[in-house]
Amino acid sequence: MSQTATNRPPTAKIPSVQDKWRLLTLGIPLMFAACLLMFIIHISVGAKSLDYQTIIKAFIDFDVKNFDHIIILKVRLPRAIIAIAVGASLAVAGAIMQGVTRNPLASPSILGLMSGASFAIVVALGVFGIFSPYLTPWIAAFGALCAAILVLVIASLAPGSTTPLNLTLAGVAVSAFLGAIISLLNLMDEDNFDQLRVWLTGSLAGKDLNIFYIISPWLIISMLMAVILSRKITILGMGEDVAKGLGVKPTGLKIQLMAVVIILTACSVAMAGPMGFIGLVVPHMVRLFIGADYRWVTPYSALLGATYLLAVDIIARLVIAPQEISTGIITALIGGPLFIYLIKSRGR
Amino acid sequence: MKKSLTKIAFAICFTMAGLSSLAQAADTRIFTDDLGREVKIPSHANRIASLHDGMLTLPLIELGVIPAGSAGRISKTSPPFIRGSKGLTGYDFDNSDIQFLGKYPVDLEKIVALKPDLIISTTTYEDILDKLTAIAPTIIIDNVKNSREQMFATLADITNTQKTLDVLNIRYAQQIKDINAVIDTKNISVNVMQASGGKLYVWHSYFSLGKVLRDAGFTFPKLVDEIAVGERRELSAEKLQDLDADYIFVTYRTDRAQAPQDAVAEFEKVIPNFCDYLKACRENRMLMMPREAASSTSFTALGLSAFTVLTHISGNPYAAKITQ
Repeated sequence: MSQTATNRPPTAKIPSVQDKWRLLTLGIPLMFAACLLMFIIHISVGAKSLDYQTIIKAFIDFDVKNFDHIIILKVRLPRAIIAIAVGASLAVAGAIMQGVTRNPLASPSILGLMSGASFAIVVALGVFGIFSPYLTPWIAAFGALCAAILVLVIASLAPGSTTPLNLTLAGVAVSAFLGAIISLLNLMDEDNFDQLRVWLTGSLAGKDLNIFYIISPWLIISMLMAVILSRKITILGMGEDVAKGLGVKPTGLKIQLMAVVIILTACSVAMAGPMGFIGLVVPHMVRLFIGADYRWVTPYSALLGATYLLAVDIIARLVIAPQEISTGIITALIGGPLFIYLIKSRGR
Repeated sequence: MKKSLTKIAFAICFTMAGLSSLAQAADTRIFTDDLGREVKIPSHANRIASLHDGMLTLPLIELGVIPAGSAGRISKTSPPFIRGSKGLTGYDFDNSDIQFLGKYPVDLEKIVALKPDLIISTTTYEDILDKLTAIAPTIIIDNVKNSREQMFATLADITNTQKTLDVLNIRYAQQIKDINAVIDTKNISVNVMQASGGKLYVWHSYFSLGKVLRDAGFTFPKLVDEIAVGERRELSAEKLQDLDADYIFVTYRTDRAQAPQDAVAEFEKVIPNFCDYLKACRENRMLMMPREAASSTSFTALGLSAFTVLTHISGNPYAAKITQ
């Protein structure tokens, strides 16, 4: 111990709080630039090679008769925008869940919210034939809310009540149960469920911006809520007693945050189906570099989530071009090993 | 006296049993299936259990063999059905003695209750072969390796209906001749496409319709020719124009009560106003066909596809322009 202190170079300087704030503040525009760069790459590459002049012309002098312009503005652009929205939503939802439950394994997919939202949409569409871009987000939100309540009830009935482990186990059980019912519904009416098969893998193909326009007000409100409440999430992370001591009402805060998480999850599922691992991996990556201050974790998660899903979708579109792989399959393929790597990195 | 009578009775029983088994042996033959198994099957099976509706039951019915039971499909809006059969053969579960054996996976208890003398299956049920063989002699036909002509030939061999198959083949060959007599197929490009979930789907040869188009000698877009025989590709919407042809065929599912507009709506989801970017569609040469007629393993489906091709392309001013 003393040896370490002795060996420390006299010029070594522990970064001050101000330095850290300066670095983190500088990091936001850098992350934004990375996201913008990925966005530009996303709309520049695809199954059909297009030169930069065509891409620029599509934006400044759009010709509806030019198929290349249609590819840019009607295929790639909506897809990129939805990738940004879904990536940011799921990453922020995951970060909040991990903060509120103080459970590093918490995410919309692990705690059953995504399964709940997917299940509600599958039942609405496959059983009742309801498909409306106006109703879908609400149906998804209702499903996510029911799943969240179910997980909380199951976890609270277990010894130790809502411990991180109980919540995780309850979430896994609810996800498995709802997944089994989806499979059963599929078996009972295979032909009609055929159309949901691709959606259930999490896909960004063939999306137009209509659903995004419908959902965006809710996304913006819930993102703003997440940013506003982020300071309190950090305090909540110190324990409920500390939070109470600092004037934070844990129950009320948890309800507000759960509403934000449900809206973010429902919006992303309504736009692209269930996309696993984003809500789990991205907040982990962010905390690895940023720490546990949610004033930074929230915006960084949003930017990294958006950048990550844009990058993953580029891979999904290019890896076997001109064929495509569902983006959700690639998020799982990359997310699984990446999560294991992150866990190992934290352990070192 | 009593003992002698008993002995005579036993002798008669054994003789009868022996004669019966001899007759049975004479009425069976060895068939080597696609797994390389030598299976002793009845020479004239009377109670066939068919474990795939579209690939096995439909061809069997067309060969004049009505199976005792068949796998089928279920839907929340209709009773069990043999996909495409009512429209192509007239037979279905609700108007025939064919028993419904379940959808995938089939119901083994229903097969046992059927008391089949022969089970015909695709490779789908290779994993429960031991259970199936315990019920009745079972033949596995490899639906992936075999073309549909080969499937028909195998089924005709199993059921001794080669003569019926010959007649069906002659009829089909004539239908192709009829197309070639009036259409310069080598100078006309065609394609069969579907859209779903934001992607485009194309096949090297789209089942019955694809076979007719290939056999008649039409040309296909380069991207389609690059697909391996028997394979399908899901392509990005960006490739739409690479799939354009003089004539495009699009199918819609009648078994799901779909209309042509449903298939068009799927294309709209892939590319808004897609018709503006496909010459065939712009110039009204995108043809809509019920999927059952275009995709079933059936000579009736081949005939319907051939007739559709013949009537829609021959005499079309554009076809004349191409052939000039």
